[in-house]
Amino acid sequence: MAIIVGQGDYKYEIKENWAKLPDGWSFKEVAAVGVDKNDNVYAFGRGEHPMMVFDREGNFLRSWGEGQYPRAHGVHMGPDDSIYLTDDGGHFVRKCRLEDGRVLLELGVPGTPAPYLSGEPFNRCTHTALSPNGEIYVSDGYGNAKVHKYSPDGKLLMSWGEPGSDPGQFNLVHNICTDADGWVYVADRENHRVQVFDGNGKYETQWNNLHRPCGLFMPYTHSPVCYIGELSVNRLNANLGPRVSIVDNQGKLLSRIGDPFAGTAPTSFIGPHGLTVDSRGDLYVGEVCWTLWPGLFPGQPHPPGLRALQKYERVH
Amino acid sequence: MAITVGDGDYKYRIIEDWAKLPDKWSFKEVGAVGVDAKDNVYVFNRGDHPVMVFDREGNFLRSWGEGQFPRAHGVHMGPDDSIYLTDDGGHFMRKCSLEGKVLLELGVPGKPAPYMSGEPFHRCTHTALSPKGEIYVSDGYGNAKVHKYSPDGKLLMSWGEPGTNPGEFNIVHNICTDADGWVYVADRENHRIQVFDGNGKYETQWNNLHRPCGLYMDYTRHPVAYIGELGPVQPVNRNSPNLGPRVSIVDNQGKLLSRFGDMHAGTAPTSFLGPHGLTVDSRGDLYVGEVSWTQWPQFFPDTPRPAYIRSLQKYERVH
Repeated sequence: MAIIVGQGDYKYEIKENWAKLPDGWSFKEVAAVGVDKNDNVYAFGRGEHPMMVFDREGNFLRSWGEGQYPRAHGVHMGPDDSIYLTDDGGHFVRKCRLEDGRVLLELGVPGTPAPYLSGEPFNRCTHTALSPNGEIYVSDGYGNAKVHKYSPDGKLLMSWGEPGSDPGQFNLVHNICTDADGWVYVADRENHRVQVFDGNGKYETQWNNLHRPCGLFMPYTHSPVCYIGELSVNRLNANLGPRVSIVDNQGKLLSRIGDPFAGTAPTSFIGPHGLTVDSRGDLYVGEVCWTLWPGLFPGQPHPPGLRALQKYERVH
Repeated sequence: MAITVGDGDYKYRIIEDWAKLPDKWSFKEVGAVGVDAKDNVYVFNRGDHPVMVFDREGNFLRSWGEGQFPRAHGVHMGPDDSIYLTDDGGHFMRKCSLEGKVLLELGVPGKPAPYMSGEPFHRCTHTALSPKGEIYVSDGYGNAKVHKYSPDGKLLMSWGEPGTNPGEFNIVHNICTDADGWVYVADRENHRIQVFDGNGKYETQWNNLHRPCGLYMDYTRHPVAYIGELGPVQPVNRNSPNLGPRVSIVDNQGKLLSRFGDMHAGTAPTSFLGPHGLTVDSRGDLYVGEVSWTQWPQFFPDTPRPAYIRSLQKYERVH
């Protein structure tokens, strides 16, 4: 029987076991996902095959990036059949070709972080987004409290942010999105908020009432809704995630998915870390289930086949 | 040389080693502080002498409560020369005379309500009074409720549930009221102060805070709020500066007026470890109690606790 989750205009049917992986392969865990214009799905994971590509039915198409990505973190799809991959373990961003992962542009020096909280790019950068002019924003991240803005060809233009909890300050800049009007949305994870800036880093507003917002996806339109993956801290307190929340462009809650507690049921989450939506409105949620398992289920070994990716088909 | 901290109209001179404890006595750590009508200071602590009273010069006056309070958490001073002590380890709230006689007790000492049952209490945290003398109790670590009692201790209503939406709580840690009847709740792990009317109707929230923990407001109209904020203790942000522990003073719309505390947790006079309970006396002097003992291993997991860690300091207002 179909399981339907969500509320209002944002209801979804859960598609269990959607991804058909080659025999013996595993995601381990999925940090982020993207879809191309054909609705093929790019799963950026932390297993032996960092990039696995599927069609919308979950059929495996190809993999690439083996040995090239120490720790998958963020995905942004370019408008020119490209994919921007952010690797926090490797301290770099790569713009790649969709077919084979050929590197078209690289920011940062793989394996060489900038000093902790130096403000220089990068120390565990997290995600990437593009301005209407094709400029590149990189959120940075675990070891900095900055958003960097680059020209389309990779020249550093400016950076903003510093550690703290005031407007314009960050406490773990975890994901970044843009819209067609040029607004920049930043998941300021441990400040429990999404901050909104103009394209030059001027603070505009913030959305609150969130719990450790971690994954962020927004369709590239005017005043888009925002899909937010939120993390929990433990398994004791109900109604604090892990969950997926969908909010309107003023941050008002439209729909929320996830059981009251973390878990492995189809309706629950462990760590919804990266999300994307395809042309039909179907939602894909990648989870860092391997990393978060021990914190949520202390003393219990990782179960085999822990779910790391699930498809949610929009119910129209 | 005197050390001055704070900004704008809220600058303070640090008075180091203010409290003159009897020989070999210790606070261990301080859950909360209050001042009476004479500016005597009541230090509700987790050592062997749970309530220690000092004059404003820091001279020791008396102690009471020995053996009666498992884990000091919150202090509220009544208008009738009384003190409301909230004990989260004992799951009770006691109204006491200033000499320590119990005048009213809410909750059953040692007997928590089931976790997240919504019934009072499961590790209740703090107490405040309405303009009519009704008693609000924040509850707490094992519930997500504010309970409202009649002045004589009859439960009138409760509000709140776990979550992050307006009106929901993620550790209800401190509670204050003002002369217009507004209720201010430190919703610690939601990083905000929520404001309610006297019947629990959500009014607004103050953001841009980090783990607001201790809350003190003068019982006037549109009072400023003195907020003790805890610092970052997750492996992922433990080394980040500028997130507390610190004290922030905000106006009645939540706008920051003054903030002090070094960039990182520490033991310097200008820094904090866990500013957990605050109060202000008639002259505007501020007292900050800290749960230093509990917080130490969270910031410095690999460094043994020093034999003595400061858990109370006086900040004399500079006019």
